[in-house]
Amino acid sequence: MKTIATYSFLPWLRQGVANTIASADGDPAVKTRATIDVSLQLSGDPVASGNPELLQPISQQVQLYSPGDIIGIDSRAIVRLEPRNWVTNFESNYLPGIDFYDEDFAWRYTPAAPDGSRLHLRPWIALIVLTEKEFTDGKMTADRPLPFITVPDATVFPPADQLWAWSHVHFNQSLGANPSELISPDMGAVLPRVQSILGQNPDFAYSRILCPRRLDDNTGYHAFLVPVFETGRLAGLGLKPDTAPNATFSGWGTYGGKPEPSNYPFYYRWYFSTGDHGDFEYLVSLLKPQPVDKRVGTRDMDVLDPGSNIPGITDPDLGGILKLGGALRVPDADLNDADRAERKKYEDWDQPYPHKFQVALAKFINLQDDYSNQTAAAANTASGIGPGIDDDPDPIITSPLYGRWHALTQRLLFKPDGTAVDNTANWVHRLNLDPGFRVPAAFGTDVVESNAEEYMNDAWEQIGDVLAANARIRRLILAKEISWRWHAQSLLPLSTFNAERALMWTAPVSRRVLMGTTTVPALARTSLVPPVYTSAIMRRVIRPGARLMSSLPFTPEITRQNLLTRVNQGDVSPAPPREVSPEVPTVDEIAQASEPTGVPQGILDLLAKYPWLPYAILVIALVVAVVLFVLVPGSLAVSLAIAAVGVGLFFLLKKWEYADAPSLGILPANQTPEYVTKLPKNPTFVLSDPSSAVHSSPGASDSPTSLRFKTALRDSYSLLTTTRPVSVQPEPVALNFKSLTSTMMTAVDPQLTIPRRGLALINIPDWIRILIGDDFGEVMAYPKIDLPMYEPLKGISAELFLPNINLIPPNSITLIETNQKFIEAYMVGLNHEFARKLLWREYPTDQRGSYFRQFWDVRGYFNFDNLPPDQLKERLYDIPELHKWLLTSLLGQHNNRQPAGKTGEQAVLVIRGELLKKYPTAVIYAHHAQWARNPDNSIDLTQPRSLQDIDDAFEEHPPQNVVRMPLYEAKVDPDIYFFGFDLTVDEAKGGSGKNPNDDPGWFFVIKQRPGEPRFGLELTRPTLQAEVFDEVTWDDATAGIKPGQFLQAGSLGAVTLVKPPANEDKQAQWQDDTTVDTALASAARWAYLLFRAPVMVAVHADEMLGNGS
Amino acid sequence: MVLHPVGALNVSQRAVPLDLTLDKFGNQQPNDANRFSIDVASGGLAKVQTLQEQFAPAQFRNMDDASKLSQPAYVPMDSGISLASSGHVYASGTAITRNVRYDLTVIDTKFRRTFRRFFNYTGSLFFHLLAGASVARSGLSTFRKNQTQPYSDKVKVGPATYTVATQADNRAHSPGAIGFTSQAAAQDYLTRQVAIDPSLAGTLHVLSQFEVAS
Repeated sequence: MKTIATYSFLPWLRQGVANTIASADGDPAVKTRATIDVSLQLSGDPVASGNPELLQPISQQVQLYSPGDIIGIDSRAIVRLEPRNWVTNFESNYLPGIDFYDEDFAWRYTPAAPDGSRLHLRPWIALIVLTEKEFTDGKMTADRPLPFITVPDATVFPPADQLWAWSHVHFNQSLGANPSELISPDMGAVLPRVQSILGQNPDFAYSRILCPRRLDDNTGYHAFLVPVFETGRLAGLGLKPDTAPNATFSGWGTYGGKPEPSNYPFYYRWYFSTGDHGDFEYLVSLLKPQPVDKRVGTRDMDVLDPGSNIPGITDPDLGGILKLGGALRVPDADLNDADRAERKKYEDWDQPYPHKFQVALAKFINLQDDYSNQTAAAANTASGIGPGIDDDPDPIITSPLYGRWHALTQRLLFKPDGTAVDNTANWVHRLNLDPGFRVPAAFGTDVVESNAEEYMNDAWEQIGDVLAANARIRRLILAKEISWRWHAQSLLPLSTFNAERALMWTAPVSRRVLMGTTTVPALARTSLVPPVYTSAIMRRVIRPGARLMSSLPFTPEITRQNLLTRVNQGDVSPAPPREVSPEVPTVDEIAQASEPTGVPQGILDLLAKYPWLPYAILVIALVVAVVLFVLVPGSLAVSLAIAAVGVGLFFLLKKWEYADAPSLGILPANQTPEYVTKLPKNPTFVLSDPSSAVHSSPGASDSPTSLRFKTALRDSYSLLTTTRPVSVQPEPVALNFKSLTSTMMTAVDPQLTIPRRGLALINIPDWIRILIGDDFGEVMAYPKIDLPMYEPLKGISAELFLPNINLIPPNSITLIETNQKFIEAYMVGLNHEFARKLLWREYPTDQRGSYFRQFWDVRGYFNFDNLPPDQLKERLYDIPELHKWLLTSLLGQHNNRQPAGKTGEQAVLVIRGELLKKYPTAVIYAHHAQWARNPDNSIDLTQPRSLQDIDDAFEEHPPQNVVRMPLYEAKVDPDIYFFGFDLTVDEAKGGSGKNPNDDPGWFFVIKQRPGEPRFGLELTRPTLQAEVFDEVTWDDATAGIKPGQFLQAGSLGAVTLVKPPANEDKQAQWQDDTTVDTALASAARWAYLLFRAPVMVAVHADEMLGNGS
Repeated sequence: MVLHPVGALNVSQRAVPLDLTLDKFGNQQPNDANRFSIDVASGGLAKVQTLQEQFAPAQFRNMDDASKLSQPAYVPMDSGISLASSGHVYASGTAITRNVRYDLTVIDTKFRRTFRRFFNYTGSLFFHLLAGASVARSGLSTFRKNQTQPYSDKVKVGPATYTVATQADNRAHSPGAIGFTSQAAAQDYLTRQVAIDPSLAGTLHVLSQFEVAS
């Protein structure tokens, strides 16, 4: 499935605050400007809690600028005129139009909201076309903001209430949800797409105004962009806009007391005329191959008197001239022998090299270097150039040495001692010592000089806030150096000599320092030296000179400087350890007191430690008894005795264990709910004072008091068990002072902290960081201007770009070739001068950048290899970076686009024709042809070749063997185009077709530029009834409509389209058109209806290039 | 008051910083309200941006001498709001889409030629060729801007910003605790957080953004 190109139209578009305008078109209450309500609310939190919030509504009516405030538009806002200014063969069935860059421009100042259907909104400007008889130019223009015309009869203006129909927004992408959706009324879905397309590339949409007037044949017309509303008309004439009846009253309506009723100011005007034979195909057919005139590309340059006391070039052979070239030249192959010899003579004018002129020029240029080594008078005398310089005691202004910074070359031909420098024939020498290349370099300096403001502006914009950043960086560097001095001289020695003191010093910033993932105070909090030791008060108290410290006795071990160390070692503690008074009974004492009497303490301890001990003894005794009984015959009695002793011991130990349980239960480690169950039962237990004489004895059951007491005990032990682990304080640890001090010293090292702080506030992009490295220093950068630089050269004069350009015949196609030496010389001149300019304007850069590398316009290049944008750009530059040009290389050997190993100039197709005057943006590229074949696969020469089909797989990215876009292009107004194609003439022409394997060659496809549709209606049609909108005629819209009359917005509301035969390409178009026919009348529907299918003409290279070169 | 239709309306003042609890106003105590904010009440406008002006924090917050000396005298603080239309930036009516088919004439040698109406030509080349259209050649175009401004990133000098961080590890307390343009605003945020959750008392502090642990 082929993707199909689409345009989408919107009937109007508004953005921003203007969307809140609520007043209707024609609202008499709106006098000059639309207003919007702004309601704000100021709220204040109450001081006293509980009070209500304080609220204060604020309302204000805000007016919006309206046409009455507009007294001119920037002509840059206009991107296209249809037809172009002074086109004299515009087809009379088409509508003139004007496109604006901003997609909302046509409705921006309209002081009204769209109508209820939201399909109609009148623009604030209208396009009118008038014949010369219908108006006169206004004479009294003094004190008037805009020029004006006088139109006595207002019927030549389009109906004011229908103007909504003739202005629309054009999108170069579909706004539909899918390819089959042609009408998209759901604005909730459409507007996000609008926003997305404009966010992606604002060039994809623009607004357009058409003039719905039926034009006459062979008539001159003046087109004017005029204000629609009376307020705009009055403001344009310098009158008060508030005298208009209301803000949306028509500028050509009538009312009582209308001032200057026939005068109409205009924002923009141009001229065109209608004529026959203006259609695309006819104009293509006029193009014919022609041989190129040999004079194209050179002109004579007088070299007899170069000035500055430098001798002229007076060789008799040369006739006092040299040949100055241009960016292109006639190929050698197109010259006869005599012409070639003549060209060679002028190319080799300086043989034997160096010519005396070059020697003098080199000495003259070298003077600027001489002045740095000796006095001006001495340097002038030593130069030996001749009188006028030799005897001048003052420095003189010398000529520039182009490329001196890029090539790091300060002298030509001679070193200061007079011996020869190396590489005297390299590009620097050729460029600087041959007038044929010095002059193009000077063109470069001239271009930079005349456009300096623009280029400098671009350069500053690219780099951003560099001045503020550098000012800040300089201050930070100063701060860094001062702080570093203090850090290195005072703090670092202190940290070595007395880490504790250094730690005290840096304590105020410690909360900002991390050790690992924890801050220093957080770490100190778990140590023996909590932050309180380094707090401000503590520091004050223990500083060496403090009163307390002076009055304390110190010893060699206990000094003024080691308090923290001793605290850290545990030698010093802020409070003595807690001690229990001997009179207070402790838990341990009570437990001991309640132990059973008469039982050895060692056994009780063993039982407490190993509760399994009784069982172990029982088991061992039984096992020993059984083993003895089995192994030793007759030992029954002994075995039984051992068993009995075991059982006896078991019961005894269990009894003691039981008796010891209460005393163990008191110990903190045993205060668990489980332990309560182990407590002995006591039937006589009562609660009593410890000093009372009440005693109870264990028994088989618990008394009710005992049960309640045990429950209470269990609960309180549960609480203890839960809270104990939470309340455990980790044992404070000693700090590692050495690593802590080292961390603190690093953390306050100004070599690290100041750059860190500085760079956190300054964003330095990667492309600059690559240049300056990681060092903390001032930002430097090379700006880059990728504009095609042939344009400003051509802007000075097309003759500088290509001498004798006017000798290219009209309606011709020719082949010439590039002149790489000229292009290189010019580009060096540009870069050299811009380097000087950057220095002069204090741009932070050295002077070795290659700011301009693009000579040709490469917008047409198709990215066949899918290169990333940066690599693509690099490939398309015309020259490599200047500082990489080898000093051994020659001028003309630096073609960045040329594949490695290839030399020679590249062929350029030149087209001059009426076609390009009328369609100045027409597309030209090459498309491979395919033969028509007979059933036996032989070539059918009776049928024309056709455009080779593109495989579906390559549909999105056509391969280079099917489509070739121009590598580069250039245009000289009004009608000359240059294209560089990667095709030889033979390849393009292809074979004869007599052999089945002959290559069919290439078509050159010339077509209307996408994004530039044309609008109109037909005069006649081949069929009786229209099958598609493209066949609708003016008479269909209004029967018998005459030239000068207007298309009515209400006409063609429903168009009857007859279904075309099934085998025609028209079917798909008919399907689309019948769908859109059902849409409600709007400017978008009108744009669709008036759209004329664009034209493409494929001409085979064999036809186009003929038998010429 | 007159506004440009595509412009935005800025409402700003220099009397009192907004969204900051005021301890004082010059030498006086506020007695009814001590923290102000501005919002859009109604209509088709919505806030798109917070505006800032330079304020002297010591005029509005109780600060000790050390803080006054260690902080800049004037810092940017919230002063108002910028208003633009609410909802979509754009408004329009029903869109209509046109498929672009070409009238193709093929001219071969020896007067052989064909003509096709409504020929569907490759869409990808169509987009590529838009780069040469009048609009892309305009001085205002994005295409030209890309030629004169090839870098998307520039040198920028940003204002100092502050973060409310946890004292234990210097990490931002929460995603909302970063990007304050003044220490006073950060301190205000800290105070409010502690008021909401008293257990945070003594665990937070204000740091310069570059000192916050990542």
